[in-house]
Amino acid sequence: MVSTSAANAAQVELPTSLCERLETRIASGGLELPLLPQVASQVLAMSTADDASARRLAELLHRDQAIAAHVLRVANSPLYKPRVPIVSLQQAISRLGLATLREIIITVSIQSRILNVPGYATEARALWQHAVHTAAYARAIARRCRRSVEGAFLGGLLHDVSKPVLLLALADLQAQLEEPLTPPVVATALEVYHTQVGALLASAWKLPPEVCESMVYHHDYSAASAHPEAVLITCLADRVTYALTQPEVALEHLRHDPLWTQLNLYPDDVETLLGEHQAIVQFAVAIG
Amino acid sequence: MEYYDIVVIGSGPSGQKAAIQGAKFGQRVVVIEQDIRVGGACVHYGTIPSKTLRESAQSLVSFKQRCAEFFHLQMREDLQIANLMSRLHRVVQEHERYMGEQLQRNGVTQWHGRARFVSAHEIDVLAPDGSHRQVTGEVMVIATGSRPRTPPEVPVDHEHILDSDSMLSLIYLPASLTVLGSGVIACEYASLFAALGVQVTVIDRHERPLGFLDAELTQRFVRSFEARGGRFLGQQRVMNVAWDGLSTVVTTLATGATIRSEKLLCAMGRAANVEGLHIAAAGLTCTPSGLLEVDEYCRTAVPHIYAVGDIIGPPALASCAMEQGRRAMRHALGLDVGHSPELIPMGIYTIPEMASVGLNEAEARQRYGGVLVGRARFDELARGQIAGITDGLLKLVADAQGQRLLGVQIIGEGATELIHVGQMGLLAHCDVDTFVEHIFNFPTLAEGYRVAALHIAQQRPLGVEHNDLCQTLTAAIHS
Repeated sequence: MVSTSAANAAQVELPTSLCERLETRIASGGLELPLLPQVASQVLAMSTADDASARRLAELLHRDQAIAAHVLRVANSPLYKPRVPIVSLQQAISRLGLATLREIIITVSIQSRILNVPGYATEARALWQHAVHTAAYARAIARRCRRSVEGAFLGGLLHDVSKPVLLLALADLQAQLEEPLTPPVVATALEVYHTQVGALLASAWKLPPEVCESMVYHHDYSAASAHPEAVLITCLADRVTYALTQPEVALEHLRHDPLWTQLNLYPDDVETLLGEHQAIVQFAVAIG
Repeated sequence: MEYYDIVVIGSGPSGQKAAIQGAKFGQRVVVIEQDIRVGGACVHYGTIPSKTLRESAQSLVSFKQRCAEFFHLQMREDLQIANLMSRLHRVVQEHERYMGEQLQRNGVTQWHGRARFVSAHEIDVLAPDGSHRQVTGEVMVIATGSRPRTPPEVPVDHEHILDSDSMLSLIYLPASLTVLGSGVIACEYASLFAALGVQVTVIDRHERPLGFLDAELTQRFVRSFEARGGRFLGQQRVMNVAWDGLSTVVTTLATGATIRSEKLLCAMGRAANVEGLHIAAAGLTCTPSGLLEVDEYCRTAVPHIYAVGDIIGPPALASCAMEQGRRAMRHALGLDVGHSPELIPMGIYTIPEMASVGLNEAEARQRYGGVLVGRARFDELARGQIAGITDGLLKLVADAQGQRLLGVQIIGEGATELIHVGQMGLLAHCDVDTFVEHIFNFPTLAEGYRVAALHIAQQRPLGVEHNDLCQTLTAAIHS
């Protein structure tokens, strides 16, 4: 199983041949964002004529990092000529309309490869669950701090979006390597390269600047210059999610994380946010 | 337990001025601030950010107006709030730095945490990391400010349904915005977003917005707001507000009508930050409206505890709060407090700006019976035409004889600066003729004072003494 946090990953030395191949692929821009399975069929089965389908489509958009990223990228492309840049999922729904969104989602789901990463389905699913949890926590934290709730959700959802991309690349590379990639090597490769790939993806997809910074600096928030609070929120949500999804939750350790203080969250705020864990788990399960 | 001569709770405008005043007279002062940054809501959520944003928006609007003859200008459709905010962060940081340095320079100790009275002289401070420390003080100043009030029928989620604190967290301009309330904050945001091309609907139970202002000013404001595509729905009661779970906030009125918008701002007043202070432990109680009652020196029922700023209620202006902080501290130290300010100017940073000092027309009529009102329209002033500031009016209110100046009201760009001429005139007990007899720079908007004064002179009843210059100028105008 891959770790979902760099801080907690037990890193090993990566084979040189893997590094060279991976770096070549990154440099050549040959990485593709996968989509979750069943998305295309779900969307195709929907009608845009009734409210229930409309809500389902909106839910789908909110729960899937791959679709969210694609929608933002495609919605901002010349094809759809948005009157204003689309910087949030909610804005995408409001501005583009459901019919257009449905079209975008279907298009990208057909064009893209499925998230069913050969040999790494479990890992990909764990990454996705972590992303959804982080997004939900980031939203709750932002609400508490009176920061952009929509921006925080997106930042949380996409902060590690480069990891499935890397997984897909690793699955491809596996065939070219003499030695099988062990779980620690995979985990280390993800941790080593994910912010670098994240920067490439953020730039290529023209994601909102605070989301870009969250993708690149969520393990090094002090390096974020333009949107330090957005990155802090993503970083904290990432840590909370990681801590709360471990088999043995170290709550006391989590309560004393200095990031709470940096966001000026007091012990009662911390307890309230930690108290939302069940609701956040339910949210993640419901959309799983 | 640490000891300080003066303990100030809150570092907004009132707390900061109180602390500095105390320190300047050799007192050991500690300021306890619950936020990680000094400055209070004024610096981080209210006055400074909203006015900075307004300034950016106004610059765009003015530029468009002034250059319309030379260029085909159209506001970029992709204009993002983030672009407008870029200056805002710099201004807020600079203001915060300056306030922090001012406290530091004066030797004021700063603690970060939430204060809670243990007794009338003891305070417990909870830091964000959960640690506690205690302080005793000879004099206490409560300057904890206020926060947006949220009625139960408005489910503020800070995402689709916002309050004035979360409004500035928007990362894009919504296509449409509903504003509940028509007070200062509501009108400032409504006019700002309307100027930026957002479809704004203001809903309030009153017939007109900003009911405490001169009716002529607010009528002009509504006209200007509606000319920018805004809509004011007065005398309406909001029954329900709900996010439809998809894309729209639906506001249902008592009439059954529904207003749909992408975002909603709830600006229905503010509540004092009293909870958490445990004022009962200090022997204090709140008024029924949740405020702290004070005397003319801002002293509470407990003589060594003072309260200043929003926590004591109207006028809830940063300018007044600073003076309250200063006066409270001087009184606590047994220093000369000086006269209580007789006249408080009021500035509303709408687009266009509005300002008032002294009595407005209705108040003057109520108090004195007949009054004479002089008007100067900005579109009839040379400076107004030159600068393209034509959407404005300056009103002088005088007694029935047209001699004694009672008040000044202004709407138009620059109103919040211009008003101080009138304020000084009122404080110096200048009569209306003073504005006629003295020379104003030409062309300026301040010239409006002279034009309005002449307008009053024209209306004076027969038998009222005119000075020579006034008669000459009045005759010239008539000719």
